Amino acid sequence: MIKVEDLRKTYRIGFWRKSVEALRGVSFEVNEGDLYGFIGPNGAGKSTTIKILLGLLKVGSGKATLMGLPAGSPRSRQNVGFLPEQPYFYDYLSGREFLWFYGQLSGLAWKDLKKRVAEVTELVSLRPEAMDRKLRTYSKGMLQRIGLAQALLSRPRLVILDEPMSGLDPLGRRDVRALLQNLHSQGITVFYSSHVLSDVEAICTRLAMVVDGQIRRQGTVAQVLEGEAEHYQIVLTAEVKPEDLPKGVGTSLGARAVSCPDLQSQRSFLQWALAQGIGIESISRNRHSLEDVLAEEVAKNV
Amino acid sequence: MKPMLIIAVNAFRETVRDKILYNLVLFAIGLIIFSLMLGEWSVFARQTVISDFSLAVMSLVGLLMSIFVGIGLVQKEIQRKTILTLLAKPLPRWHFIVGKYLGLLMVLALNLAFMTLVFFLILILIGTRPQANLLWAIYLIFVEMAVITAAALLFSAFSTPTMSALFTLGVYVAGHLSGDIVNHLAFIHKFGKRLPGTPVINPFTEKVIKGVYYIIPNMENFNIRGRVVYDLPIGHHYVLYSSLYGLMFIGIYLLIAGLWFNKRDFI
Repeated sequence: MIKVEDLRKTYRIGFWRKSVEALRGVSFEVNEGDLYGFIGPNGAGKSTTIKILLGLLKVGSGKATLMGLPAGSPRSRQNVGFLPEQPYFYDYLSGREFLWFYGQLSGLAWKDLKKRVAEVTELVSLRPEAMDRKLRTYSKGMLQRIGLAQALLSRPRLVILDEPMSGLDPLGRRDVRALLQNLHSQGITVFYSSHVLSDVEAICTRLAMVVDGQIRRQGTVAQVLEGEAEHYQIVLTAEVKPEDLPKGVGTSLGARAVSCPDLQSQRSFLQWALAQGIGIESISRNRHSLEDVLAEEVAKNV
Repeated sequence: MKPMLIIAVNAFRETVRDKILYNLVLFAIGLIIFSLMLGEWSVFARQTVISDFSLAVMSLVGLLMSIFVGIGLVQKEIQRKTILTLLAKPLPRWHFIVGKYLGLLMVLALNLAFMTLVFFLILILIGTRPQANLLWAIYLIFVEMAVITAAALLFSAFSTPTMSALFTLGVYVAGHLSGDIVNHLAFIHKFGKRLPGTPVINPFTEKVIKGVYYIIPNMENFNIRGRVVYDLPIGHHYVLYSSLYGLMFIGIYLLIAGLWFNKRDFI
C-alpha cells in the first residue's frame, strides 16, 4: 500500500535559504490491511513524510509510492482518504455543503452522495442537526470529526491521518480509536501519526518510530519492544535518598518508589530496606513501554 | 474538467459570501446613481456623462474586485491550510488554479451584469434607449478584468498578498501607459532629429521599454469607452482581436501560475 525507500527531504527556510534536513533516509512499508502507527516527537519528520506521500511536498531524493504508483501523481491518491494535522476547512460552508463539495471532488456520483454523507456522519458521530450549521460555529472536536468524515467519504482503501486525535477530549479520543479499529476490521488500511503512544501500543498491528528524520525502530509492537529490559518497581512506606540506595537501584516516581533493573538488584534492595526498617507497599514487574523506548531514542540525540 | 468546475463553483460561493464584495457592489451602484446628478450639472449631453461615468465606475470596481478577490483566492487557501485536503484529492494542481480562476470570473460576470442592469435602468429612466455598443464596451471591461485577475492569480501563487496587489496594480498601470510610451518612442524616431530639444533615448532603455510593452498586455486595447459613449462605430473585428489578445495573456499567466504551483511545496 505504501512503500518508502531512503526518502530524503531538505527544506530551504528564511531569507538566507538556510537548509534544514527534515528526512534523512526514511524507509518503511505499509501492507494491505495494516493499522500502522507512525510515531515520533514533534519535528521528527512525521508530517513531512505524510505530505510527501500525498504529493503536497516534492520528494527530495529516494522513492515513495502509494498503491504502486509514485507519490505525487493524482492517480496514486484515487483510493486514499486524508486528514491533515489541525485541519482548517472552509468556514463559510455548512457541514453538509462541505461534505458534498469533497464528495464531488472525490468523484462520488450525485445520487450516491446523499446516502454516503449520512453514513459517514453517523460513523464519526456527528449529530445530523450540526450538518446545516456553518463550519465556523463548530468546536475543534466537531471539526476533527467532519475532517475524518471527508477522509472516509469516497470509501478509500487507504486512510492516512496526521494526528487524528489532536484537539479531542478523552471521549472523542476513544471514539476515534474505535473508529480506526472499525476501519481496520473492514479491511481498510490505516496509516496514522500520533503522540498518544498508549493508543498506538494498544491498537496498531505495526508501527514505525521516527526520530530526527530517521526511522529508529519499526515492526509489530512486540518487535519494537523486543530486547527492552524489564524492571521492578517497588513502592515504599517511607521516602529514601538516592545516594543511600544500593548500587544499580534508582528512585522512580518520587522518593517513595524505586526502580530495580533486574532480580539481583531487587533482592539486594529488599535486604537493604529490611535492614533500614523501611516497609514495602507493593512490588510490580514492568516492561518498557513505547514511551520509554521513544524517550531512549530521543535521548540518543541529545 | 469536472473537478475544475466543482472548484470554480465553490470559489464562486466563497466570494459571493464575502462581505467585501457587497461593499464594492454597493459602492458601484451608489456611484452609478450619482452619475444622474453629474448629468444634471454637466454642460455635456446628460446620457453621455452618465454613460462615460458609469463605464468608468464599472471598470474601477472591476479592477478592485479583480485585485482584492483575485490575490486572496489562492493565498487564503495556503495560509489557512485548506489547500492541504483539497490537493490531497486525486486532481492535478492546475485544476485548482484554473478552477479558482473560473470561479472568480463567474463572480466578475455576475457583478458586471448587475451593474449593467442598474446603468441601463438609469438610462431608461432619463428617457434614453441604451445602445448595443455599450455592451461591447462592458464586454471588453470584462476581458480586461479577466486579464488582471489572471495576473493577480499568477502573482499570488508565489508572493505575499501585499506584493501581489502591488504587482497586479503595476501591470494595470503599466498596461495602460505602455502603448503611449511606445508611440512616443516612435514619434521621437520619426521627428526627433527635426525637433530641437527632443531627448535622445539610450538604445538599451529603448529595448527595455519595448520588452515591457510585449510582456505586459496593452490594456488600452480593451478600452473603447470613449468611442461608444460618443456613439462612434466599433468594428466587430476589433472586439474579436481584443478578445484573442486578452485570451493569449490569460493563457500565458495561468500557464506560468500552474507551472509554479505545480513545483511548490505546501508545508
